[in-house]
Amino acid sequence: MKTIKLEMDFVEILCDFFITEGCSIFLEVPSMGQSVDLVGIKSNFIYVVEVKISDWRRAIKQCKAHEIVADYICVALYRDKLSKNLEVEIDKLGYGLVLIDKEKGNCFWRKLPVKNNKIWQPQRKQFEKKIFEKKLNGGFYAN
Amino acid sequence: MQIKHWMMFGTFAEQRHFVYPTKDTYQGVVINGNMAAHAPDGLAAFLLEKTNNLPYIIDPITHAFQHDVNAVKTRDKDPSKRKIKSSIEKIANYYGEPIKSIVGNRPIRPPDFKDNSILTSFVKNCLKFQKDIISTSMENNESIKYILPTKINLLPYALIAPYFYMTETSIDKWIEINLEAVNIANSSNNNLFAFILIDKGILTNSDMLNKVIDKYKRTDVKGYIIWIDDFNETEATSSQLKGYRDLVNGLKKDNIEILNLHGSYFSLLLASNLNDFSLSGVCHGPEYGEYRSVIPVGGGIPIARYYIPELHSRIRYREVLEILSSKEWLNNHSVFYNKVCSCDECKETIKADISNFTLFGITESKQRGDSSVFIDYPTTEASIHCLQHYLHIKKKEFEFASIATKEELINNLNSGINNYIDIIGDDGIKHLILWKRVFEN
Repeated sequence: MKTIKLEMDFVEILCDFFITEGCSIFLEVPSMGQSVDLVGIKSNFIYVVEVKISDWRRAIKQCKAHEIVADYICVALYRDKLSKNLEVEIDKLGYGLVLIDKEKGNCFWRKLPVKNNKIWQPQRKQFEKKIFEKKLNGGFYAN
Repeated sequence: MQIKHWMMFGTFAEQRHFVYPTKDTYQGVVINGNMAAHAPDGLAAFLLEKTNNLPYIIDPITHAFQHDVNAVKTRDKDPSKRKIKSSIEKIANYYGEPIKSIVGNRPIRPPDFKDNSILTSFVKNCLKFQKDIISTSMENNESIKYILPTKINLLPYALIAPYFYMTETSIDKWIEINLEAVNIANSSNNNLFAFILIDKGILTNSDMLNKVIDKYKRTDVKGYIIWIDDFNETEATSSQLKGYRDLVNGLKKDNIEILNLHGSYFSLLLASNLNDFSLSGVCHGPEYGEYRSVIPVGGGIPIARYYIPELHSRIRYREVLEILSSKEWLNNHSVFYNKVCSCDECKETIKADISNFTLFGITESKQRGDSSVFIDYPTTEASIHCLQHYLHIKKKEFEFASIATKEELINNLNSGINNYIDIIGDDGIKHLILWKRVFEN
């Protein structure tokens, strides 16, 4: 229960962060049987963000499928430091990494994402439809 | 040698798949006893009207009475409101004692059969149930008037002696009862199959495995049905696979059929030239049932899976996209047909536009119960595309394994390994390597 509350609070902080970054935000967008925690749209580019309180390996596993649909893939972790393993892995994959400054309660880029070039356009269009459906049904935060 | 292709009947919504892709795809249908007890008229109509007069076998599911009683009860959240499932109650009434008095109260145990007359009457009731339950409904079905009597056999293809689940800890208690049930059943029937339901642990325990083989081989039956609890051939260890091969080869006798009730492509290899055609048939469900737990478990959230032919495995749609897109096999339809699949379903779905491959993975969001949570489910159309593709490939696999040479069968496994290892790594193709190894030793 505590973790769920923490994750909800963290998502709220992340929304503020990505809105400040110029994104429109959509939460829990379905994609190929998964749900993307947070999607940001900025200048027609799609950012997907997997949010985790712990278990960064699971976040990275979930991100793999997003490579088919998203321009930028990010992992957001509820921590202010990170292990060498994680840093190496994130670097290798070109994902972005957002951490939280627990004292100040705000997020920051630890690593900016690299533009993903593995998109398969037909599935990308399906994902755009899902984002549009989300917009129609609420779950949308404008910047 | 033709490998018999059996399919498990699940629900009436799946009836049309038993003539798909062609009317002659399947050699038989396996029907669970509780389903037969629950809807005999519907099943009679299904066999007479919706299939090409498919032979059928009724699994008497006698093991169901052996487990925790909650497995045979409804799933009400309040335990006091849980009742025995009506189909189980019906079957228990057919079987009589000791099942009838015990069902829902406690699991059946070996001492319940210590009186041989109880076991004898139970066996007879169980066989009578299989003989009568659907055939009587077939006799009364209107459409039978229009079918030539010589063209149809109303009785099951074979009868199955009652059987109970044997684990490493329970085999000594149950094996003699199982064998005695076979002997009793055999005295009055000449088309009897013995059902061997075991835990995976027995496959790697040579003493126990040999005991099963030796004892069952001595029975005078027409065939065996094997079910290894929750035995996923794509995840099994090499010693489990070898144990399974030894079981099949150990039971093999001339003119004896051996059917695996829940098998995938490895079972087809056991039925192929690679294994001297020891296994004679393999059964699966429409896109499920290549392995199954003895005690039913919930199905989880449905997810679209596409069967990759060279991997002989159903893979989540999103992972399929990762794999095929990395291989650049989603670049256009010609590459896809050449490298992945050119079955009729894929061709009819994709046509000349590779973007239509997304039709295998279309989802829709549905609210989960009363909660605010939305879950993404495959659409009916996407599920049908995946299923029909699966059925096409299964048909091809059965045909290929029936006639291929040893070299062709090994080459096929090598293709899967060589074509996919660069993307999915050793973990993704390890089942193919292990399958190959079983036949190399």
